[in-house]
Amino acid sequence: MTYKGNSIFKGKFFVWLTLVILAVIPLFSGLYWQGILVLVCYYAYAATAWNFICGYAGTMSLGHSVYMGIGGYISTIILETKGISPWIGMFIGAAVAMLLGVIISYPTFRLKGPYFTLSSIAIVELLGTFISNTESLGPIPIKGGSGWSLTQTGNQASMFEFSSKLSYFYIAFALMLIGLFVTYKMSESKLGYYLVAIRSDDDAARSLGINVTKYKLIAMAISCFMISIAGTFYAQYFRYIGPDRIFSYDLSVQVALIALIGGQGTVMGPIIGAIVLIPLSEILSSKFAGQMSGLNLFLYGVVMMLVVYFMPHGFCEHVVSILQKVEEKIFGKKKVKE
Amino acid sequence: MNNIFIAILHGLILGGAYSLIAVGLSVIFGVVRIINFSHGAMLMASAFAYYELFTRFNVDPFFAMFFIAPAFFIIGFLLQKVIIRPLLIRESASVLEPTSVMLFTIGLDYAICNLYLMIYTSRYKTLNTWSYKNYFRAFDNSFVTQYSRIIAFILCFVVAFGLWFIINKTELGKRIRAVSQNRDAAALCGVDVHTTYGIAFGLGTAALAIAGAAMSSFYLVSPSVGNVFGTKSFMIVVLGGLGSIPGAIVGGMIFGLIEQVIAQFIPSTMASMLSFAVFLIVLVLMPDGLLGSRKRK
Amino acid sequence: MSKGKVKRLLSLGLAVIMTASMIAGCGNSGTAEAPASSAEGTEVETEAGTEAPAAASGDVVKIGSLWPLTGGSATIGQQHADGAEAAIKEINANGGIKSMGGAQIQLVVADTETAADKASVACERLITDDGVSMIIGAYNSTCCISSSEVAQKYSIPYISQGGVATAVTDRGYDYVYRINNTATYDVLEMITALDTICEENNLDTLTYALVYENSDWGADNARIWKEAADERGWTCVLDEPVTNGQADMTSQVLKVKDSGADVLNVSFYTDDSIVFSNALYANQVDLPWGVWSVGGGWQDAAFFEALDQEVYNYHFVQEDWDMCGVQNHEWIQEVATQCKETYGYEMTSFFAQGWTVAYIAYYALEAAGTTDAETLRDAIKGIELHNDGTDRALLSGYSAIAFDEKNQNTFDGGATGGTIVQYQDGVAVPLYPAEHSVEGNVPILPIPSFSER
Repeated sequence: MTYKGNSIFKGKFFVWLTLVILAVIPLFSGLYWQGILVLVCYYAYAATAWNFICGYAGTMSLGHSVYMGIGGYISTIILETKGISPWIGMFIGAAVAMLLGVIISYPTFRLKGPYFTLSSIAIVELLGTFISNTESLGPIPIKGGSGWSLTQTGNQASMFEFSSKLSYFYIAFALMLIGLFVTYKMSESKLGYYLVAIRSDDDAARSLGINVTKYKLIAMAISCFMISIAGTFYAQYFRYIGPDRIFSYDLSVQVALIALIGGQGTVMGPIIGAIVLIPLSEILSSKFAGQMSGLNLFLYGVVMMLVVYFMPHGFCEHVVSILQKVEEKIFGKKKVKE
Repeated sequence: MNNIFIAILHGLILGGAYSLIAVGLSVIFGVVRIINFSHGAMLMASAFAYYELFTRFNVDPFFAMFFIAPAFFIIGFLLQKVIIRPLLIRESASVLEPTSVMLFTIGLDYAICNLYLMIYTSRYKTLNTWSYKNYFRAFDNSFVTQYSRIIAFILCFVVAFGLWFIINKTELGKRIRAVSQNRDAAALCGVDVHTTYGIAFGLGTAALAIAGAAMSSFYLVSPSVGNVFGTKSFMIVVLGGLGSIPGAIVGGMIFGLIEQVIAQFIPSTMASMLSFAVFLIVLVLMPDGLLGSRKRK
Repeated sequence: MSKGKVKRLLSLGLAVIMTASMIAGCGNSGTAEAPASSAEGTEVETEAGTEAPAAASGDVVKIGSLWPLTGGSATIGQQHADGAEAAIKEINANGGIKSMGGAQIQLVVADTETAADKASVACERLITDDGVSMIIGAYNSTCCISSSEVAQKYSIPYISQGGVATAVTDRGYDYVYRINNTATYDVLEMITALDTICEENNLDTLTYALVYENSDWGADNARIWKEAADERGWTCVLDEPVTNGQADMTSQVLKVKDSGADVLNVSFYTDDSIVFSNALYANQVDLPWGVWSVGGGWQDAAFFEALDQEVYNYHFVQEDWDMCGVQNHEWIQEVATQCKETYGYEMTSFFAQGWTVAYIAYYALEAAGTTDAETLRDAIKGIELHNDGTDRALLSGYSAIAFDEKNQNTFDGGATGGTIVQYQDGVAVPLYPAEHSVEGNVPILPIPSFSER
């Protein structure tokens, strides 16, 4: 890493560069790539939310889709029954998800490592089964397994429905930016330092007088808030929400993997993860679907193993170093001793 | 009342099958301390091995398991020795990514399942063996179940006893216990930690292959079959207590009884929710599991 | 910021713009208007596509074939995809779309992964990247709903096959058509058959048990059954939803046994239906007026391979196609043989439905003579077919294809194309409705109890 000193792929500058590129590409690309980029931003945002607690504090939750589901469901239900705009509904959903996240996490945060992970899986299975079997909860319709198909409002922006793909992209992009900013602020703050200390060794952190549970709960609440807004985006973008996907363990794993492969506990990790993985899985599934069902997911698994094996800190740092090498090639070596 | 008695019997039989599948995981989980998310995929892979042997050579799974289980021992041993070992060494060096092995096994699970999907397609297959097609009957025909389920129930205790014996009564077992209690101390005493891990991993995988023989004879064979038993196995192992072999049996029985007996009184979807709820409650109130705390030093 | 950095950034920016414009180029080449092969070559060519004489006219019309090829419904989705492929192969061999100068049809296969959001993304890809003129699919109701949403947004005709939820056509989308029954019809066919049985056997009332998988399909069936049964004053003695993927179904079976129901209505996918039937047989549950399945697992060849015939004997199954077609028509027999040879399984209703929906897409193209979306949409609406036993499109045995104002196939008010069969000595015997039955077919009722068998 001799070249780092003067590289454009370094620090804040790299972040701005990535974001600007990401923001500009859809303006030039066709609808197909715009669609993929919406997903990139959506998953990047969800993974950022996951990363907020799981990456920084090291609590491997594989049940975060529960909070996404709650956010999506609440905003959808109040939209369909009361006609309240999802722009408002998403904050109601987020508040409920946040509350629920704290209530659920308070006891389960006592569990360590794999135990916490398993408890999160049990929660997602439990709530998923509950939603698919509940037609209505008191006066509130849930619609069970059939899920909600959203009524078209005629592309009203105030109702979170747009005619152009670009609008969805920039909403997802803005969400991602907010997630990024919040994570960045957190990582620079007391909370961030505490969380990293907790991840390294929570007993040591406790002995230093850090209120471990309190800070983990704060981080969890923010994480749930963010991911539940991703749930509203999901419902509005796909215009359908049903329990077999949004309350599923699969979705949780997918979100977690993006952050983990990109680089957990780093600000840019989830975004790099989404930029690499989402187009990859899209291209694989379009190339191979129908020829050999399963090949795309098989390669996905293989890529995942290779990343874990050869890039233990995630893609992020490798992407940076590869870009730096390219830069080196183009502009020649300028050794800057640090 | 008679119905409840029959349901209890069915619950125990199903619990036996769950335990049989979970007991191998319990050894791996207890000794190597990793969540092997490819457990379900390996179960599925072993089931396809039995499927091939049965359809091509007409070998009954319960006979074929004497060859498949050793083969899976080697697979498990090599998986640990060659692939997981470097990850574990790396993890012990830094505290930053304590999840890489788990992540790796998630990737492995994806890869194995979809590899088999490509080879065998998603069509459900069944092994129409003698024990699949014939029924064990008792209590004036009020208790009827496939023979393969009865064999699974018996095998559960045989395998559990075998593993318990190896771990608690042999020289090898001493090393396994030493490593599982304190890896570094064991290493200082001259125990080859990673070979011991490999053996433990191999034992767990071999036990899983035996479970595969039973599972392929009473259930279906398809690339997605691991999902039915995978997550449940973790819950069973944790419910029973980390690394406790009797615990795995108790955990399996509890799951089996909830699904069969409690489901007589409430809709079965509620029963499956209840089993997750029981798991969560036990986990929060006694994190060492039902039988785990007693063994903890 | 140093001077070097700015320079580098500028050159990099240039590179980015170049890449971006490249991507843009790729994207544009695949718009809906461009039937010519796109530059990236990402489309999956099915056998039908590759074998076709490419130079016949140079024209290729793409149809998106969207099915669950992985995930929970993969077995069923694959059969639909096979059926569609076989149909398109035949159409191409017969000279393609004649009104378009013999243009060949190319199926672009996509996978929904049995997940609603993935279906939506895959559908969007078919439209924006592969540039298909029409989409057929997607079996699961949830996937049909989410993917047709996309098709409507892009104004690409979408013919739905498989999804039974009313929401597919109830949203009033003009580009979305459905040729199969809604769940209502499927269940009502069974109820009507039971009415006949009640009449013939002088039964005043029935007690029934419902056991069903708890996702949209099973729950819908159970709800409709309940409504219809309530009208008739039948008594529900068990209502049991079950989560997919059970290792054992004995507890559910014991409940059925305990309930003492006359009739059992079941809806399960293949895996659960095998486990359930096994347990039902093992525990010798006597249901005098039968086990009635709306299909699902009971229509899958794997089900019959997995079980001995004693296990499913006397079961009633609502098949979504004309079961006696194979016996009555030579050409159907031929297709069935082809299916067995090419794909290695006996023709199923899923295969037949995949075939039919592909043929309907072809008819629409033939009638429209263009790939223009609006003309094509109206061409689908204009399709009116009546089953006289010779139309190759109606392999699935639908009595008619004609769309109502919601673009739902009305079956011309006649039989909805389904057949109720009873398995007698391992053979499916078509019984109801009468026009799908064969002379001399009689139901075995009441079903002999296990002690008498």
